[in-house]
Amino acid sequence: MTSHDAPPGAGNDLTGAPMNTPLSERPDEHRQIWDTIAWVVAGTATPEQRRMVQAHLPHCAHCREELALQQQIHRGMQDPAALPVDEAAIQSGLERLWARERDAGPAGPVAPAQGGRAANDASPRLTRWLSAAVAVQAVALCVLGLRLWPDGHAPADYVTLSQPATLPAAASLRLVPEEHVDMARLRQMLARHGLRIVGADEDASSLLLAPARPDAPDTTSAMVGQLRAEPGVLLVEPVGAAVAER
Amino acid sequence: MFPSVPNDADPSSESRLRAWLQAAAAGDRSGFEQLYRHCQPRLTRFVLRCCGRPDLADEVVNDTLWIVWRTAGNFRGESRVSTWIHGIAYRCMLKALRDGVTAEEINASAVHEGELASAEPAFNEAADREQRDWVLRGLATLPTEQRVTMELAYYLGETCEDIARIMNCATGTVKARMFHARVRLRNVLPELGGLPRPASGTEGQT
Repeated sequence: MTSHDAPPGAGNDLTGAPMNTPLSERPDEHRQIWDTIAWVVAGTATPEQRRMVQAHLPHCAHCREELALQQQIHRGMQDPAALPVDEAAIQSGLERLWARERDAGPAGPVAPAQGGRAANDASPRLTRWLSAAVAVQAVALCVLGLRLWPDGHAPADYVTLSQPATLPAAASLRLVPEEHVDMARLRQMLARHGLRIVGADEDASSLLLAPARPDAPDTTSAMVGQLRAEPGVLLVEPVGAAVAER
Repeated sequence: MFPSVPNDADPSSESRLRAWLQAAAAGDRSGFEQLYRHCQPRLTRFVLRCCGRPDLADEVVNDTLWIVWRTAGNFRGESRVSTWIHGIAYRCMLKALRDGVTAEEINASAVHEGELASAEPAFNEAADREQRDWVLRGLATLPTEQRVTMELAYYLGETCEDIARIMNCATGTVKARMFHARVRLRNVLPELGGLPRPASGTEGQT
C-alpha cells in the first residue's frame, strides 16, 4: 500500500500511540507531536516545537510518515516557482478600485487615529462623519418639527414604556451605523433594502428607518437579520409597532 | 532537518508590506498599488480555493483591498500586516458567501473540474502539477472551515494563534479543525490518487 494509508490505531482515533511505537512513549506526547507536525511543516512552529518533533521522529514511524504526507500536502498547496502574473486582472482590479474611490467621494484613505494627532487637525474621515451627522440631524429636525406641528391628530390611546413619544409612526427599525460609515454608503445600503430614514435620536448616532414604500409588506424580522449582516452596522433592532408584533 | 518555508510572514515581505501600507495611509496611490500588485494574486488564489468560485474571488479580493486602502491608517501594528489583510479577506469572503450561496452549497458543489483548472497555473513539470491537482482535490472535500484553516496555515503561512484571531475562534478550535482536516486528507488522498499510481512521484516518498 502507499505511504498515505493510516497505520493501525490512526484514522479517526489518533489519541493513542500507533502499534509500532515503543511502549515507553506516552500517548499524550505522541498526540502532541502529531498535532505539532502541521505547524512545523508550515514553518510557523516555535523552535521548541521543532526540537520536540525532531527528537520524537527517530523512534516513531507513524509520525515520520505523517510528516512526509504533510510535506507533500504543503508542497501541493504552494504556487509554482514560475507562476505567471495575471497583469490584466491586476490592472482591471485597480481600475475598478479607483472608480469605486471616485464614486465614494473625493476624500482619501482614512487617516490614522493616533494619540499624537492634534485635536483640531480635521481629517477627511472626520469631515465626512460631520457631514453625515449634519445631514442626519437635519432629517431628525424635520421629523421632529413635523411631529410637533399641531396637526390635530388624536393622541395614541396607549404608550409603552420603551417607546419614546416622538417615535415616527412609520418607524419600524432603529439602526446604529459604525462611525466610519459615510452618507453615500448609508444611502446605498438603505436603498438596497428598500428603507428610508424617518428620524434620528438627539445626537444623530442612531437612525429610525421605515420602508421606502408605505405599501411594502412587513418584513421587519427578516430585515433585522439582513441589516445585521451588513458591514458597518453596529446595531439593528425593531421599534414601534414592529416590537409589539414580536 | 525541516526546510524553511517562505511566505508573507517573512521579515522582508512584511517590511515591504508595512512600508506600502504606511504610504497608502498617507494617501500615496502608487504605494498602495504596489501593495495591491503584491497581494492580489495570492489573495485571489486563497479565496478561489476556499470558496471555489472565480466570480466571487475577484469581488472579494477587490473588496478586501478597497478596505485596506480606505482603512490603512487604522492599522496599529498589533499584528503582521499580512495577517491583518488576511483577516479582512476572510471576513469579506464570509460576507460574500452569506450574500450569495450558503457554505453548505459550496461544500456540496466542492470544486469543479473547470475551477480546478482555473486554479491551476500553467506549469510544465507534470509531477508537480499532478501533485498540486491531487492535493487541491483532497482539500475540496473538506468542510469550508477546515479548508480555510488549512489554506491559512499552509498557503498563507499564518500561525495557529493568528488563524484564531482571523477566524475569531479559540486556538483549540483551530487545532481541532487542523486535526480533522488532516485525518480526512489521510483518508481521501490515497483514494483520489488511485491505487495504480506508480509513476506519479507523489507516493512512497517517506
